[in-house]
Formats: sequence, structure tokens, C-alpha cells
Amino acid sequence: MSTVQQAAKPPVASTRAPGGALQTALGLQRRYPIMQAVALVAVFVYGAATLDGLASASSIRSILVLASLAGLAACGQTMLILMGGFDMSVSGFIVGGALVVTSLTGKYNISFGVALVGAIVAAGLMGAMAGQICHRFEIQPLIVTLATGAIAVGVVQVQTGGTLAGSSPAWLSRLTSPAAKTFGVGVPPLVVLWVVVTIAMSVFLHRTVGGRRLMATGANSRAAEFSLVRTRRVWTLAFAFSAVVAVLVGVLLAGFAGSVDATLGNPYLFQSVAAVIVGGTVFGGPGDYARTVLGALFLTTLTTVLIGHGASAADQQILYGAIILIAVAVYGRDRALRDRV
Amino acid sequence: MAIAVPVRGAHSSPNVRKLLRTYSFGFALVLALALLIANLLTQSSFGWTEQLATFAPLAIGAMASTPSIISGRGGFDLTISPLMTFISILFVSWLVPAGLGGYVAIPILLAIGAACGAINGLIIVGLRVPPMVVTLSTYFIFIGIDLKTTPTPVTLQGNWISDFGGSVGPIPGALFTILLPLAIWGLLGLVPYKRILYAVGSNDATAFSSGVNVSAVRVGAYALGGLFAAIGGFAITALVSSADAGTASSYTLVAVAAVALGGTSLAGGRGGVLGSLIGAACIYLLQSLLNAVQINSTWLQVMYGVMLLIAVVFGAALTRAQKEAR
Repeated sequence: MSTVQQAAKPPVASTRAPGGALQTALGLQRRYPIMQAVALVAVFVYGAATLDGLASASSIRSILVLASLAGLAACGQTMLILMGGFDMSVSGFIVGGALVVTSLTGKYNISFGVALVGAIVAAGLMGAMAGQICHRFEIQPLIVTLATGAIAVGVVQVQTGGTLAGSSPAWLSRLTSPAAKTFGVGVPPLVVLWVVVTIAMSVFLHRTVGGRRLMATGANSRAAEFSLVRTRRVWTLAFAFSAVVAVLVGVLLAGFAGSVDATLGNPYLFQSVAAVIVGGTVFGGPGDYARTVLGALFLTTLTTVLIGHGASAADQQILYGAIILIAVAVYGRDRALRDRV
Repeated sequence: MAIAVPVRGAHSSPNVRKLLRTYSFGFALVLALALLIANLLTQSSFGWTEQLATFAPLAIGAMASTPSIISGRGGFDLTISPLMTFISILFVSWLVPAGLGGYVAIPILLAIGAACGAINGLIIVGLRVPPMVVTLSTYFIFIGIDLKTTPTPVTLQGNWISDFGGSVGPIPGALFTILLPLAIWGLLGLVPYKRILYAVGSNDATAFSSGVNVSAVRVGAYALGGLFAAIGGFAITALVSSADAGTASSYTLVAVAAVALGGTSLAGGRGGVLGSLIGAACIYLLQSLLNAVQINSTWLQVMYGVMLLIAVVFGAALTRAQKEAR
């Protein structure tokens, strides 16, 4: 598998132009998310200076918990974007997962565990189907996942009959509460979980055969195919993974939010996309999950500061759209048409 | 002397295939007619005027999504649905209070719609970023603007626009809004633009080599979609007699499903606005049939999703079969 590993290495920034500090800076920026880190610190310092209590331990804890939720929701999205895919069904599966553990456990009188396993299996199958369809028929993932997301949320909503009663188990609320402690240490358990997931994702993407195959598929699908990577299997598994992660995030969100409604997942769709793209991960790679973590932290801090200054949910949405546009303009440019002829 | 006719496919004979190649919406047309008959049989009072008014936003949303998809290379405009709502909001909460609620609003809003579409197109060709990323960003922006400007629905009373939801003389008013995009698309056939658009959609590198200004053609396709979306904005306003930010994302899924069902290839270069109209008719009639037999309305969302999946898979399989036959 050594060939695959080499194929997936991120291209080293070429410095054709003679010297220049700008070129060096751009090259560094392409390799490390320097701007994002600077922006994160700048926004936090600005917030701490203008808003009372932003730098307090409790507000940092809640920023971290919110960032964890956004970052975990962006887990599957990172993987798919690295592979050249895209997942529009995040919000649908989040709502599906949240509703299954809150409403359906009560309705059918099944235990939490059974409901969770059922939801995971169903989501995995639907995600796998989406990946298969995208790869086999060469259809834009956005359109296919738009459909599967609608199906997922619709099927669950039909079961709950539109009424959104029920609550999540108490331990789940404790797990996701910003005030909770992990084994007596003052860090919320969800943040610890996020750290563990971050390490696992980084190891998977950069140190395992599976991760290398994923990166190779994103970098050049045909070349990967010639290197005996079964790209269709990669697509299928990655989409299944994304759907399952979204369901799990839905379960966590049910605990965090307490009550569940059909719009619960909507903010997490654009947060997941924005976190990945702002982090600097490009369609088809290069990129990694650590960048997404930075993106999620930056966006959550920015949102918190802006809400502190009186911004509404609508403003937040406009801002996210603008930030994605700026980020793709910096990172994700295609070749010009005249170079493709 | 009997000559054995070779049958190529087990399920699709060459004739059927050839027919579908020329009329890619053939399948949707047959389905739409069957559904229409089923609807007329099950519902004794099939009120054409109201039905057409309810159908109009969906139909126009589908037609508006078509030009960008035809332009190829992943061309796709997610913003059609929020843009329709945006136009409706502009009309109800800005133009009418400003005293511009008369017919003068028509050219203003059409121009704004086309400009919004053109901005999408300019960003796409200017930044050279995949259309779906750009329109996803602008989709967020438009929904945000819709929510910000109209946090609560604003009602509109006694305006000429309600004629489009009712009837103009004996003619259902919605026919005007539905047929206008179709007419514009038809008139475009008289100038070279439409041909060039299909050329760009089929293979942009070839079109570029032949001296086509590919970027301008693409921007034109998005502007055309924006123009149609503005007409859709009129249709929404006429239907609900108000401007409501809640409709901002209502037509996103159905519009794409209708386009795919209408035989427009999502890879670009094939299909047309008429197909999307027929695809939208299929979805609308199926929805109305399901309502008539009193199926839980939450199933509708599932149905849209399933229809979209079936349509894209069917369309892609058909395109592939044609490529192999060539």
C-alpha cells in the first residue's frame, strides 16, 4: 500500500516566483492554518475586551461544548469533503437520531440501547445507499443527500406523528451539560469526547490504510482506482459513516437541548460545512480534521461574540454564508478553463 | 422471407430509447397524464384555478432551476427557493409601502431577480469554485436576509397580484405566471444563446475551443434562473397573499426533484424547461392524489426524496445506456 500512501501526500506549495515574503507566507498558510488560529485568538481577545464575562471559566466551557457539537457534526463532512463528496443530509439525520431516542423510545416502549442501535443501522444503510448511488451513477452528492436527508427526517416524523413529546435520558443531559465534570476534573465530558474523536480521526486519516485510501480517492479517483483502491467501497463506507455520526450527534443534541423539534438539525448543516471549509480543507483534499476543529472553534467563538453584541440567528446565517465564500475563494479554486482545453 | 428483428435490450427496445432521447420528458409526460386522470376520477371537485395557483410556485421553481443545471460542470442553483421568497418579501414589505405596488413593480422585481442570479453566476465563474459551494453559501445568505427582513409574515391586501392566484376573466391567473418562463425560454430559441448554452453544458472545453465565451454563457444561465425565480416570487405572493420567510426553503427539494424527473440531465447539456414543468406536474399531482386518499402529510417529504432518488437514478441510467449505444 506504499504507493497509495505516497499518492495521497498533500502537494507541497511550489514557490516558483523568486523569493518574496508574501510567497513564503502563502506557502506556509497553505500548509498550516495560521490565519485561522490568528483569527480565533483575535476574535476571542476582542470578545473578552468588549463583553463582560466572556473570558470566565463558565463561558469558555459553554463555548467549548458548543464547538464540540459543531465539530462532531462536521466529522463526517470533513471525511466526505476530503473524498470529494458532500453531505446535505446532516440536519436530517441529526433530527432523526434525536427523535428516535426521545420520542420513539416512549412510543414503542423500547430501551434506549435498542433504539440507538436501530437508528445507527438504519442511518448506516441509508448513507451507504447514498454513496452507492453517487458513485455508480455519477450524480452530485448534494442532490442525493438532499433526498436521503428528507427521507430520514420524514420517516421518523411520521412515526412520531408530528407531536414532539418525550425527553432524553438524564445521563445524556449530564454528559452534554457544560457545567458537568469529567471524573472530578472541571472539563465537560463532551469536550473530552471531542478530544478523543479528534485524535481518532487524525490517526485514521493520516496513519491508517483506510484513511490513505480515502485521501487517494479524493486526490484523484482514477489514479486511486489504478492503485487498486476500490473507490466505490470508499464512497459507500464514507457516506455510511457520515450518516451514523450525524445520528449520534443528534442523540447528543437531544441531551443538550432537552427538547427536540424538526428544526433542531438545521444550524448544524451549515455549521458543519462552514467549519470544514473555513478550516481550509478543500474538496478532494488536502486537509485534515484538526483544521475542522480549528474552524469549529473559530466559528463558535465568533458566533458567541456576535450574539453578545446583539446579532440574531439570521445574521449568523448570513455571516456563515459570507465566511464560506471567502474561505473557498482563498483555498478551493479550480483550474481556469483555458488550462483544461 | 421473415427477417428476425434483433432486440437489443430486454426491457427497452431501440425505438423506445430513441423516442426518449428526443423527448427526454416522455416518461414524466405519461406519468403526469396518468396521475391527472387518477386525480380527476378521485376528486369530483378538481378546481382548476386553485390547483393551478398552488402548482405555480413549484412549477416555476423547477423551471428556474433548469438553466443553471443545463450549463453543466456541476451547475446547480440552490438559491432559487429563497430567492423566490426574497422577491415576494421585497414586493410586499418594501415596494408596496413605498408606493411602487403597481405594475411598475414587475420590471423592478424581474431585474432584481435576474441580478441576484447573475451575482451567483459571477461568483461561480469569477472565483472558479464549484457552483454547489457558492450557491450553498448564497442560500444561507438569502435565507438569513429573508428571516431578518421578515421575522413575522406580512399580509398583503387588495393588490393586483392576487389576480394571479385567482382568475383574470375566465382564465386562471396562475397560467400567466406558469407560461411566462416557458415563453421566455421558447423565445430564446430564436437567438443563438440557447444552442450555445447546450454546447457549453455538453462539453465546456470544446465550446471554449470553438470560441464561445463560456463564462458569459454560464452567468447568463444563472441570471435567467434568477429571472424565472422572480416570476416564482409573484406566484408565491399571489398564492398566500403575504410574504413569509417560512417559505424560503420549501421549494428547494421539490424543484430539483421535478427537474430530474423531467428528464434534464444533472450532468448538464440535456433537457429543458418544458420537461421541468412536466416533472413538477407529476410531483404536484401525486401529492394531490395522496392528499385525496388522506395520507399523512408528513409522508410528502419522504415522497419528494424518494421521487428525486428514482428520477436521478433513472435519468443517469438512461444517459449511460445512450452513451453505450453510441
